[in-house]
Amino acid sequence: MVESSVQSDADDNNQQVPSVDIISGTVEAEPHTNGSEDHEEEISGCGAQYCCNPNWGPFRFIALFFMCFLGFGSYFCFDTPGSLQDYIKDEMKVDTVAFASLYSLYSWPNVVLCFIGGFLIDRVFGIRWGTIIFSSIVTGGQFVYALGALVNQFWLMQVGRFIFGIGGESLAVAQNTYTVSWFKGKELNTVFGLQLSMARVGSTVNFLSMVPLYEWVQTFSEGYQALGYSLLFAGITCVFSLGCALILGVLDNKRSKVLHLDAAQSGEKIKLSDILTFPASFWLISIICVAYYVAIFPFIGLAKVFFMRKYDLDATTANSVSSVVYLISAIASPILGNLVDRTGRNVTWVFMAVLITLGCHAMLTFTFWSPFISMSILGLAYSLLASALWPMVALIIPEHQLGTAYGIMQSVQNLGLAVISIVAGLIVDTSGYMMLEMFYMIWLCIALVATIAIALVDSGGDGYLLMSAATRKRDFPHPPADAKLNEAFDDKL
Amino acid sequence: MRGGVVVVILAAMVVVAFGLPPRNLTDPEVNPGCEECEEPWLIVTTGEGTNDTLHHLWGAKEALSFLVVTGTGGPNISVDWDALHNGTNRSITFQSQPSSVFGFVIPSLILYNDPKDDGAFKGQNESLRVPVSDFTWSAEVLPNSSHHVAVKLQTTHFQDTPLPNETRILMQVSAYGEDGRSSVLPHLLYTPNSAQLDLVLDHLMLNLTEEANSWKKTRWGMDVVVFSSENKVEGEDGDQGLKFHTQKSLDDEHTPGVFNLDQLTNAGAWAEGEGGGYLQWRPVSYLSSDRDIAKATVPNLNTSLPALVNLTEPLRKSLAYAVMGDNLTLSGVAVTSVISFGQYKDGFYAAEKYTTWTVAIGEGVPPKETFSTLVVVVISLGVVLPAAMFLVGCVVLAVRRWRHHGSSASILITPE
Repeated sequence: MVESSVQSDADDNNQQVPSVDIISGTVEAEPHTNGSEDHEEEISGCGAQYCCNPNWGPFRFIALFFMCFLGFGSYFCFDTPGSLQDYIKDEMKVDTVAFASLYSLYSWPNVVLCFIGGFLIDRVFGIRWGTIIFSSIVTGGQFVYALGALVNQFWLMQVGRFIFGIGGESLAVAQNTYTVSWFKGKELNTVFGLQLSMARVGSTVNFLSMVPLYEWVQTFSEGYQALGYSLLFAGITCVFSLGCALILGVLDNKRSKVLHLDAAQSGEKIKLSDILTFPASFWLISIICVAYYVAIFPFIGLAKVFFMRKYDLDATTANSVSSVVYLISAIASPILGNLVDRTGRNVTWVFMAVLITLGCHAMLTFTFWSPFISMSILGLAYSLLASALWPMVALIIPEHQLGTAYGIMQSVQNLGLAVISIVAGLIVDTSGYMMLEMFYMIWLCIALVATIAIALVDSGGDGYLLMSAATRKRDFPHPPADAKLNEAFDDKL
Repeated sequence: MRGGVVVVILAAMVVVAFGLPPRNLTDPEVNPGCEECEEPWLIVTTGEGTNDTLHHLWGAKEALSFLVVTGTGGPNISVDWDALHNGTNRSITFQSQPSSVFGFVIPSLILYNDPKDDGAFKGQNESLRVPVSDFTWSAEVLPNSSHHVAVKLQTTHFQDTPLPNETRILMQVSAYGEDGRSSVLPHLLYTPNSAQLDLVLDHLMLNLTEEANSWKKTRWGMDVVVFSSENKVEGEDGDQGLKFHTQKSLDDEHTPGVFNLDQLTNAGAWAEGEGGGYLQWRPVSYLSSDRDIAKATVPNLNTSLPALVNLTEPLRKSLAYAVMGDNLTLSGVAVTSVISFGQYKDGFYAAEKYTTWTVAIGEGVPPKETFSTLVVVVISLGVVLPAAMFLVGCVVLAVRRWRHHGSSASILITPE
């Protein structure tokens, strides 16, 4: 679930940039007046109760509950391959390459969909139906994936994961759109942080619960059927999220009518010709984005068996180790995001995060120290990088190009994950886990080199990315990215 | 970058400098001097070194036997075939008394029922020993070179009945005259003082007793007798005799997914340089011919290693007795054990009907696993490159800041 966490990271941190009210897409939630500005629709019956009245302040927090759980099922089910890795390989008789395709196939549709997710919400389905459709696709994909296990057809599992991928990231865009629509100008930063944490919690719960669930299912089933039933039970979380999507649609519809609001839009405007104007720093950030995350998500996907074989852990404990990254991240992300906002110096934080992650992988490769140590530190580094890296895009790209910029980054990131997941599986089968760790460390070295390059490029310019928050505020009342926007208008004039 | 390359070259030089001197191996002889021997009683190959001669003795009659005999005499050995057939001791002699004898014998297979799915053989009541002598073996010398010779041993009959084509015990035994690593998983290291046995139990579904045929959760194991003439050498803790060690290995490059290395050595070899011998293997038994770790189980060794007390009939007719004689029962010379194949939830032998086990046997110190050249190069580049860029980056940033401050200062002091 890279994009949604990333998107949430991006939107969250964009909002926290001082005096820059930039998100990945502008959301139009201006009141739509029908002649009389003071006209209010009368509400009666159940809807007049405080809890159902959009005019009531806490009403939006009721909606917040459903927004937070909108993506829970998606995040929970995303890592079901990882938490059941050894069972999938044993029961479905597949090697690591084939297993890794369950992650790769999730990323492939998102190489393209990250560009058109916003368009589909804004122009085709609308936010409410869009959310319901994407949530349905996620649910359907999960059940096809489970059905594949139930009937011992691995290709069907792969189809299910592909369908799941189509819905997953678009659902994240929808979730963000709802969030901005309901909370812009109010508690937006806090809500984004909360949603990010909920996303991590979903992943954590998956790793902690799937093995016990599988063992319970084995009391009445066995083999690939036990696997299939376990995945079906996991799909219940997607059904729950679909229910949240339906309820949220009702609440949003009610709110729009009562408060006379236009339907929320993602505001993502994709203009591919804009990439010709993107600075070198942006492309270096994209390199870091790919090079760093391929050492996180594919690693976690394959980590369970690695921990079992190298550290002689049982399945449950191995999954607990895998879950530590997300658990730590759920707690640390808001704190570290706040830290980066207060201190600035994004490049420095990114450098530290990459270096720490490299150290964690080195620990896992060259020592037999408890993996809980390295995974805990990895969770902190992962949170720190997300908090520091994604806002950098908004600092160097004008607002009207941010949709394209983030679309490009996520597209490239998904392409990298799709390919690297397969390569990682191949390396495990042919050369073992040590070589796989070395492979990840090479990518992190690339990320490190790119970070240093950003520092050099930025220092040769205005040095904005290297500056502290205080210096930025003092020396640049308006961010340089907006200055480029003004320059562009001046040029046109 | 240059520093990393130097490290690699130095490492390679160290390996070359301290590797064992190579040996030229003679072509394996099957039953040398025995015209009427039909089955492989004795297979011999000899490697002449600068200071000693190393004999590899293998046999598949009566008991599977694998020996490494080191001496300072010449390459010739003498075999009293009548004595060997009759089980008389010391029927095999050498030009001079060997300085070291190390080896192991497999007198019987064990078929056991494992209803609790324990994996290892723990003396279950439902078990049956199948003597190796019930099998009829064939031997085929494979194409070889002066540094690598190999023989393929394969069962053809069981209790004088031809086995189906797919049913067989297959063993490939290889001796080496140089340092290297096997090309077959689990890619064990070899030295000029070692040989390797690769054992495969392929579709070994035999018609045994009625009771055995009724067992549904069967596994295979083997009785093993390991012996060494270097029983008097003490280890660091005063221990004598043969001991089991399992080492954790960081590098699973050569055996993907396996981080352990098991060894059975006598104290001398473990103390490094005091003679003796070793058995070394990776704790993995593959369940398919493509040797994928996804389909694998575990070879379990009974590590209690009680001493050999009595010489059974198969042992008396084995090469161990032919070389060691009654010394086999001396204190600390020989230990008995069981190696059984299986682990919890692997589906038992019937799931795949295929099990492998690869073990290296050698004289002296067991070879140590090290990082491959590729790993060393990657580590070197991965450390050197970013560190160099970081240093360069810091210098560039510092210079730019200094220039920026310098130009700011000159603006301040410029008169209006």
